[in-house]
Amino acid sequence: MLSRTKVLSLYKSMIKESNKFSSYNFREYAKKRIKHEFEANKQLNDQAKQAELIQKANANLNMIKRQVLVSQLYPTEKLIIE
Amino acid sequence: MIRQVVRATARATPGLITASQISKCSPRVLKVSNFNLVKQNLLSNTFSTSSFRSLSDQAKQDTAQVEEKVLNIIRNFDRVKENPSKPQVSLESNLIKDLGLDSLDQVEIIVQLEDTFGYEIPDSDYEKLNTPAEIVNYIQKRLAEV
Repeated sequence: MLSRTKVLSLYKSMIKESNKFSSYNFREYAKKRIKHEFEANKQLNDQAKQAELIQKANANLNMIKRQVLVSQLYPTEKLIIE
Repeated sequence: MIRQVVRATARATPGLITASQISKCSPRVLKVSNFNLVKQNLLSNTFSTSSFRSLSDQAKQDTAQVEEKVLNIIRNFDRVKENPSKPQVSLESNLIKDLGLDSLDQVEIIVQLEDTFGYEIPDSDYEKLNTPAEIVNYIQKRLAEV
């Protein structure tokens, strides 16, 4: 069984990484999407499925890291809501 | 006629040299005087009286500030704000039992705390942080260590 703290720390690193997006739209979308996915699978007990989702989350975390870098290379103007 | 010209330039050159010397020198002189000004400012800042405040006063002030910041973060958290039963957030309210949050929300609050107070909270400490009072205690302990 996957430890609770491991999942929570994965969630935390994903949220923290998404906070680095310089563009408001990317940032808020990423956070909402991460939150939604984690909430949807909160009651999941199937271990194989859990492992698969954790792998997917790790892959996505790396993708977010890359995209954050790219978004920092090409800064956009701040939106009026910021 | 050539002699006259030579003499004239000879007379003119000393004046030219001094003019160019002045223009070369003046920036350096300015820089030096700027440096002195900066130095004076630094000195007067380090010896300003504001740093001589009694430690106990500061500790009290810090606790109040930390409490306020922590409560503000929790009160402004979406799930708490939009909770239909409008729970009252006090220092003793349990995040999960009283405010209806789950462990993911707790992690989000911790991320916000980290951003506000500027240091990492290790994963193993999440279970210790169930009420605002516990969070305040924890932060105070961490601040004291630094």
